Amino acid sequence: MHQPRVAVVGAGVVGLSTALCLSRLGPPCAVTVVADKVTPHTTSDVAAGMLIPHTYPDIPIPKQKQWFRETFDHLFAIANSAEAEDAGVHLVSGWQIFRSVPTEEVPFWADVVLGFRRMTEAELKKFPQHVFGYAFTTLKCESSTYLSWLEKRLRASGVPILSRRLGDLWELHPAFDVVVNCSGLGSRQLAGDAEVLPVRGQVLRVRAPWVKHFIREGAGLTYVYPGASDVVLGGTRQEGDWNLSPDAEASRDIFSRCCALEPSLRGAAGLREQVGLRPGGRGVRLQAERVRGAAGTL
Amino acid sequence: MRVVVIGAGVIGLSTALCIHERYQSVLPSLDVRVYADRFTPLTTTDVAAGLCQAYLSDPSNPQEAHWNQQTFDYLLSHIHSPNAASMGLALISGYNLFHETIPDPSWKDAVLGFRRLTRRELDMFPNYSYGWFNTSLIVEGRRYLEWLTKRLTERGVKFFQQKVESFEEMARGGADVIINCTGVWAGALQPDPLLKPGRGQIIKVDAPWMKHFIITHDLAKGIYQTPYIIPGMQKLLLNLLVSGQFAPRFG
Repeated sequence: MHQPRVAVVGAGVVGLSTALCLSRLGPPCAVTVVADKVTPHTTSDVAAGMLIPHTYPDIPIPKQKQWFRETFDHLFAIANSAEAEDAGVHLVSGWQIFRSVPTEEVPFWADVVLGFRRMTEAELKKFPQHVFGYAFTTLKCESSTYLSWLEKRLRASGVPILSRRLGDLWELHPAFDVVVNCSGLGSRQLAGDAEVLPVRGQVLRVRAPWVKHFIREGAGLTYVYPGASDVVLGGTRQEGDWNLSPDAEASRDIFSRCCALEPSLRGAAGLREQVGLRPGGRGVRLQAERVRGAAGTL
Repeated sequence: MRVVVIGAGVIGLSTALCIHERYQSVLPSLDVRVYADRFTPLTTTDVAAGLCQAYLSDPSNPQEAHWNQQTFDYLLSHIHSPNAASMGLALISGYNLFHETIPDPSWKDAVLGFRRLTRRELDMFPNYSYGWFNTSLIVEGRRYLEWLTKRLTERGVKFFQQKVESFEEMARGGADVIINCTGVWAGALQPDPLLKPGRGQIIKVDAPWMKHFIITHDLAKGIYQTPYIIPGMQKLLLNLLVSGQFAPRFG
């Protein structure tokens, strides 16, 4: 019985994590990553990597909570190990603040993060435009560092990363028996998924090492996320926008919104703009398909 | 009216600025001068991490608790300004770790968001069974001294690099008021048998992913006798060796 040959398409955080996970499964399978882009050119590289989840409307909350808890626990163990620096995973505390009291006072992930509580009046004084907030400690998983670390571990496990731009998932047949599609926005073409649409996100990265706390406003359109080497300021959520070039007006707006939350950012140096196209349009898609085509079955 | 401040650490320069800000308008003849044998980056202040955290036990002088609160509030009021970073000011959160349960400190309401550590947080520190989490302030010595120096210079306060041997020397030179802010060396200018050095050795490392302070405590040994980690603006501060007795007036 031959080992199943598995192709993981996509080398962002989902692809590489999946490939590493598969390579550790028993019974063994032969895993290969196939990707058009690798770090630092993936969508993941643009993300700040803050573990503060969105709530998806079409997935049961207990499931979302389970996924978040497993992810958090996995990364928390890395953050508390000697690998933390190489993996780019570290704890960060901060505040999520609101201009009006949210309908849901306690989010589903409150007991997954650490030390979750409501902000005190004294803490809210820092944000005169905001009346309510949570304080907690969560993890930041620095995308580019984490992806490089995952790549290193994959190579050490003998998992090849093939640089290849696919036009269609069928190109992987018959070389592979199983395809795990982690191509994000690429699914639109590769799997003919018309529901996947870009949600454009622009961020600024600045040097401001005195900023030690994250600040997230409301649903997370405006945020300040301090990392190991820079602070990520964001953001935008532009549905259906495919433009990968930074927009100067958006940058000015992001900077202004973030300085309103953290005035000391005005003194920040080394501004860099980045754009990523989130695979949006639908919630998390995690499903298996047996696909039969003219040439065989995948 | 000549006011001489001896010492150019955080106490000396803050004192000089405070006096000038408060009295210059009512005393146009006010002449404030700072004398010191060392200026930043060579003062004791420059070595300190600058974490604003009072001692665990209440001070013998209740006035000190009040001073701690005032200092904290003063610095906190500047945190929201765009100048915070150039003053060396930042909010910082972190962990105080103990081997046993202890009462909450008297400063728990002075700092922000004080709470006890949860079980999962304590699991990160296997040698400790109890602790606190709170948000405090860090005042990076060197940056703050630079900022104070600029403010003083703008106000026309003069600096003299000179080792002052006695108060008489200053008085003979025309000082009406002399303020001794020489820290551990204060005893050289006036007898102070209680004053002893609390030598502190630290190492600075680059670990920019560390965003929290971690201060361990051994109640039998006393403050700063066990490891602490304090993130700074650039490099992290760790103490590995602390020798010498701990003075009641450590700067």
